[in-house]
Amino acid sequence: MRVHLPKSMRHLRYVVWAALLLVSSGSLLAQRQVMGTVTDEQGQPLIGATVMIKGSDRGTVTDLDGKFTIEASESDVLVISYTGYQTQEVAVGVDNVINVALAEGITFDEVVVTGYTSQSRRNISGAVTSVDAEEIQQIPTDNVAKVLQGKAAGVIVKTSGAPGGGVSLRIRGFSTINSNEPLYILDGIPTGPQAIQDLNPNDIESIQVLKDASAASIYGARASNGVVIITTKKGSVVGEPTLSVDMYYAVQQPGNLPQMLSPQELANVLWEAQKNAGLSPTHPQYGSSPTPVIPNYIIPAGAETADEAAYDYETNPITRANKQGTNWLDEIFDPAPERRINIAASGGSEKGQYYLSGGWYRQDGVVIHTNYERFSLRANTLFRIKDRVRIGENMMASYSEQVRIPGGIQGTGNAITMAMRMPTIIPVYDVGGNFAGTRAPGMNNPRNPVAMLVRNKDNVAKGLRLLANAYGEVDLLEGLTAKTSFNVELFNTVDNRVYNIRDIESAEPAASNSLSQRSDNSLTWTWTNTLTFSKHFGDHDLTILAGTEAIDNTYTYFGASRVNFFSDEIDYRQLDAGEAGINNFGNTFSNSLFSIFGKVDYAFKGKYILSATVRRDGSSRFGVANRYGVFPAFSAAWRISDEDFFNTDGPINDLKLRAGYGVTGNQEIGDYRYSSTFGPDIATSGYDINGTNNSVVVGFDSRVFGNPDVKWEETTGLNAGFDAILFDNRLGLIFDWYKYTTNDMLIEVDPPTTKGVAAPPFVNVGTMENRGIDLALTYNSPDKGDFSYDLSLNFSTYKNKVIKLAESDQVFWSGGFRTYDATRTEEGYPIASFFGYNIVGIFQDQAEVDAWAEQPGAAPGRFKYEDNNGTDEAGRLTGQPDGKIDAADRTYIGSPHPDFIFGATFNFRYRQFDLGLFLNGTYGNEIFNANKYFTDFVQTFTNSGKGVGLLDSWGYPGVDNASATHPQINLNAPDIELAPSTFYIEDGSYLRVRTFTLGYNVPSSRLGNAFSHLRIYVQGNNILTLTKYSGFDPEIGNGSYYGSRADLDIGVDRGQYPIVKSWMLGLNASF
Amino acid sequence: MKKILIFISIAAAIGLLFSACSDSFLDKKPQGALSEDVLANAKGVEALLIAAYAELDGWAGWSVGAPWYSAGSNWVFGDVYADDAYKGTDVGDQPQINSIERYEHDASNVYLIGKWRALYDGVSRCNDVLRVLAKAEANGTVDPGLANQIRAEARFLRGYYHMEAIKLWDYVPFIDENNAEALAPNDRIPWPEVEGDLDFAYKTLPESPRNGQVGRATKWAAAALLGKAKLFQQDYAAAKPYFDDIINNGPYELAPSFHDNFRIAGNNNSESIFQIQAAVNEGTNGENGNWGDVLNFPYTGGPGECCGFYQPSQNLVNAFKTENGLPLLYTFNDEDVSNDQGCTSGQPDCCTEDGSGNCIELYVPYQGSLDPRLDWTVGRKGIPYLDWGPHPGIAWIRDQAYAGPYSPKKNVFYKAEKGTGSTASGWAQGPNANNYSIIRYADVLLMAAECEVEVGSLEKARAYVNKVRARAADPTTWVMNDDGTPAANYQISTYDDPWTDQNFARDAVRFERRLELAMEGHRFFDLKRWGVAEQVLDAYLAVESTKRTYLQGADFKPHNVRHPIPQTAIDLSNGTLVQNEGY
Repeated sequence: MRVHLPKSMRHLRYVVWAALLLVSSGSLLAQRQVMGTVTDEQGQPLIGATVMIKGSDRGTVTDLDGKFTIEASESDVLVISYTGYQTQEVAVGVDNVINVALAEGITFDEVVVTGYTSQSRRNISGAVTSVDAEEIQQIPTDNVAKVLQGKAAGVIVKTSGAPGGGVSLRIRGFSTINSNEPLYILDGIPTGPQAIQDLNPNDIESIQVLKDASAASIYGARASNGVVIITTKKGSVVGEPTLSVDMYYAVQQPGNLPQMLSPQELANVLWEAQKNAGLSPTHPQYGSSPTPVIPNYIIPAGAETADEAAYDYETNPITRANKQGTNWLDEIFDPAPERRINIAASGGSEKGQYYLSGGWYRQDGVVIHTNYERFSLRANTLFRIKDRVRIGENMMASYSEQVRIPGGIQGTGNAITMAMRMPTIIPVYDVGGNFAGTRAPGMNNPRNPVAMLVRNKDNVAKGLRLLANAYGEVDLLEGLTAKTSFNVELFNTVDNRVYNIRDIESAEPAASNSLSQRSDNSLTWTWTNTLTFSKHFGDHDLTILAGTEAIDNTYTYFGASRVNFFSDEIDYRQLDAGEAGINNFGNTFSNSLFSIFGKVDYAFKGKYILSATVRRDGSSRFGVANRYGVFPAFSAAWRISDEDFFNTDGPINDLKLRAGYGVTGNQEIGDYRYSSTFGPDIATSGYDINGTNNSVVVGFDSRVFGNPDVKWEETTGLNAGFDAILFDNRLGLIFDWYKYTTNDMLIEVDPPTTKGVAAPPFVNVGTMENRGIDLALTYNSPDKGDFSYDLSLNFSTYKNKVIKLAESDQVFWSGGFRTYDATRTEEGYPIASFFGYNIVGIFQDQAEVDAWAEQPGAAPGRFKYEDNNGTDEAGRLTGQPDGKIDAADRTYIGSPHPDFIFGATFNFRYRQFDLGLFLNGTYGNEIFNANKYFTDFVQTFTNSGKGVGLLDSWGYPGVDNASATHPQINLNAPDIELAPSTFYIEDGSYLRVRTFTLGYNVPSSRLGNAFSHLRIYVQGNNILTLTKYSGFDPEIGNGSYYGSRADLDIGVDRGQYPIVKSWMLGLNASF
Repeated sequence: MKKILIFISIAAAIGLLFSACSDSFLDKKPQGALSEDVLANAKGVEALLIAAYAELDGWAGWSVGAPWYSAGSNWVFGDVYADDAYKGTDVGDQPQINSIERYEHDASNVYLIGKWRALYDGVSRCNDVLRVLAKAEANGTVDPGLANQIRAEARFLRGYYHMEAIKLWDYVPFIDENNAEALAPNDRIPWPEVEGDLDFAYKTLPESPRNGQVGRATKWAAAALLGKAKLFQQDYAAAKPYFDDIINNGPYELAPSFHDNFRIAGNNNSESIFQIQAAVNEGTNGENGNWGDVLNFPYTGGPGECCGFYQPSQNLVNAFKTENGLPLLYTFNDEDVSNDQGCTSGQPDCCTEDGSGNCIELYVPYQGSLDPRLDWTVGRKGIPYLDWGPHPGIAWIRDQAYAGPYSPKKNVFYKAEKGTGSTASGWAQGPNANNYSIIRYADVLLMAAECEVEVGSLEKARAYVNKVRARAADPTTWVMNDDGTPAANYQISTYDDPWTDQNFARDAVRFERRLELAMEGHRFFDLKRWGVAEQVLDAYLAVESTKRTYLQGADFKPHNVRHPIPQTAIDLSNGTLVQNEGY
């Protein structure tokens, strides 16, 4: 949440203008021309200030010289407002020229788009957060959703450093165990997070987040996770056409890279592991001596000499040992550039407006050969025909290319994990210059991460998205406007292929080279019709909205794959060239939504504000009986500071109390889940009944257990808060408390295990609760001289709790790594809590072992587990310690949910210089560092690369056992030590300098005629992070970004592509 | 006011206009999917039946569990859980098997729920057949004779899946097609229902597979399973007639070579009674091959290139020692068959360094006399590994210090078959078209021999055993070096002295069964039904733990004869299922 600041939000005037025009009408009487100039207190003209006739919907905005002209009658009162300045009212009287100087100060006059309509924040009774274009510009990013992190109270953003890698944006916690993806409304049209990824941030005018149910429920069945409304730029209605150029160049660097064991250290650890297991140490490379010997060659294994002339890539890939050790992480992480250029032309007149932009963005990842590139084009136009008709369009075309990290952004098999798992003795290349790998004996099975990345570099996923929206509106009568809008969104994977080159240097090489190619097509059309009636009469302001909306989406995919390609040449990587394994697949999904909605806003003297909405949605995702749902909402506000008894000259200048209640829905269960189906699947229902050895007859089995009774999930939300301006209009404060309860939560209820296997039915059984507070605070310096500053701070909390799941003792496991699950979701606990054993120490001696509960593999040097539970005869938990450590003793050991999150922005201006500092962070959350499974145990993938943590193991030479962090290194350590436990849990709190910016505005006197504005800046991003987390970075994104169960998986680090730090140089210019 | 009325009437008109057409607008039907009613005819039911067969390999998709959890070959629950095999590979890969191997697993082990889900998915597919078949019969779209055949195959499979569950857990629910909730108590062992299904199949199925499709169950397959079910209940007299029927009236004879049963070229041979049909390069990445055994190939460089699991135990190898051509029933484990354990300093051979960096070969395979079946069962250094050349020892072993020097061999393909008989695509190269035998004739002969021992016909038992041994004794069927000489010192003969002592006869039959069926997923279940699991396995652990240190402290306890009911199964049963005793 943010209150507007002086000199910021210049672009908002266009929104104001557009909003005014939406409701303006032309037939007026007894008018004359009044002219004037609006300035600040220093006499500088204010461009784009709003001048309105009080009590009407007529108005204008000031031009480049701060001048305005308006038709008014003698009895009219002009209301002059400008973002960041205090609104003034001036009676027209007999003067033909009215000059006004506005005083700076915080106001709540910004116009907020609330869905189908827009309103001044003054009159809003719900909880809405805004972020404007200027703030969006301050954060360099590919995806505008990332901008909201730390900028908008109550918004949680999870992401990674992967180029184009996806963002999870969550509003006020988690309302369901299914999809918590908010609804995105782009220029009035509902869309999804992928479209936001394709959106050029430069084109955005403002973002509004409808947080509470009373604000969001106008979007009914899809609004229970909040609504993000994004408005793109329109042209100006005054002045000359302008051309603006924005560009930056950044150099990104990886953050913390964990330290891995050197070849000698790893060999020593392996010796220790065998000795402690009662074995005499031996290794195919390091010999059988009492101490390991690092050989000169690893192929031939353990050799001191080799006939390098006999090298053959296929049969004799001679490989030297890298005795110093290969720093695999350093090999795959390199500084990389990020660039963005945007050129936009905009302008217009009272007869029409246009905005045209072209943008290019390219981010090369800090992991080599990963990148994302986007070309985008936008054309927004609006024509005003006579006084009553407006026709416009918004069009976006976005083409992107992406090379992803092989193995996934978060995957235990990705190149980052492999870089930790590769023994450091293996060089990147063998003596023949080909990739070296774990084909060398005694190296376990990781794959050469450099090879993975290099071989993957040409696997470019290309996608094209088109959004085209045309709308028309007519003023039927004064105050009555009809609008129709038709939108088409088309997405196509232009080319999405993955070609795998064989990795014969690996211990477990792929069977063959292969190509798979896939095409995804999605077509959505949306048709919206609204009728708006708006009227001021006396002290009453009334707006009524009614509308219908129809949405239809069809998604089709198909793909094919082949194996065995004669050549890996890039020109040969076509399906036709594959010799075997001819495969194909494809299907279609579709859904539709039809809605009728209405909204009434009423205000009395601007003091008593009421709002009511209702929406009836019909969805194809539910069976005939439950197809329709009704979602009502009410809210009210009281501007107590307008009451006579309230002294606005005191410390509180403005105070509005707000409260709201609303019902919203969630239908994200996928398509057709009301219906049970059978289908063929060659892999699981095909059988070689004829005994051919090379063909199958494909049968049918259950695919989906449908639930014909499935219906909406409903979230009921309560919100209460206040907006206040204090201390001579210097301090703005917005506070909200909320409580949401989701009922009939849609859960895939696993049927009895004896029922067989199919997609489980979605059943409405669960309940979840979220409560929390959002606080936003803004302070503007009083100084009007050369130096000024402003501060803003936001702070939010949420408490999530699963109240009820399906009827049995249902739990949801997630956060999988190898064969374990790190998180569990269960009644009475927050979603995705970490679950495992509680380690209370390391056994120091046998006496301690004997005195402790019976524990598998208990011995001095082993982890000591807490006995906190047991099972009865029937295998059910008793809740009582039973003297035995077993699976029953697993418990909740941590939470990915923070106690609070916050962001703080400081802006300082001195003459032509500006300096900005933006901090953000979280406190009280934990991270499940699943990488430790690979790096901190010798018995997992023995012989593979390990982390330096093992050097602090109990019993290791030179270690003080009493303070050792790791158990004794032992090949025969009990499996229980690998299971999820507090050993993996780390503090995930952090405080980071998200951006540090120093800008210089070239004085207009030096610009000459070429430029009207020129700013040059340097910026550091994520340059300092304070955290105790030992991994790459404490910001852990989701395991998957667009899945319906993505939030059961939060806070688990499986070798995530880390967030990067960067330094950039940027330029904003307009002509 | 007038404006408001206009507003309301326009709004209402728009609303009506759209709500009128919205019902059809909101009708979206599943694409590319079938409803049960569409399948209620002969063709549909046949397709459902194919899917019921398809579950024999234990594979129901990654969302259910990894294929190795639920392998139709039972390599984990039959052999690793017994004395035939170790988990193999290295300690950290698939650690859930470590606790199974140490008899410390609990109800949360993923292997248990994986296997359970696969078996009951098989059951549910059979029930889908039976339920939809009834609909098809009711609407007259299936010929009654055909319907009965389909019913018999589905019931055969349903009996089989339940019997597999009984083998692991004993107390399992029996789910039939009329049980819509698919919930039933597990308060007893449902042998009567299993036998009911198998008996119906026995009485209904043809003697040769329907449509000539070798994958289908026959009367003989049903007989063999029925006999085996009786053996599990120690009812030897009741079991015997089924085996006699197969031996006297069935079309089976032992394949010429023991090895024919473990090679693609030998699929569905004269010895095969019921096999899981494997196919590769059929359009998947090996999922219809011996997919549950995808991990069970030598490590790096050899066939499969992954992942080094399922390594035969030293105890098993020792069992193949012979003296005068006969096994050492009571002393086989006193001395080890020598091996290349600890042989590390060079590849591919075990060498000593001659002072100038050259290798002097040291390793000589075991010279003592051995049963030739060993080298079709176990891969060991220096012995030809099919046509892959001599097994190179440690080069094919992932972590010899952990899991010893041996490789599995019965599920492997020939080098000449690579890419045709084995998968040419996917992440693993091991899955191949080698069928797994659920029941083969040698198995039936040895089960019959068990019956004869128990009913007192020792000589008849000896004849059956000798029939099996005689086949193995044919020198033309042995593993040979390139020069045509036997790969090892093979000495095998038949039992030529009459059997007079029932105890000896029993021990000899049981020992023969181990040798003949080693590494075929039967061992633990045999120990279990003989009631000797605890005795045999504790003796095994005592010795084996000196070689495999990770077995130290492991202990087979009486309740380990059955596994814990998977916790998930209990949790999702609404209180219907209860845990087995001891867990």
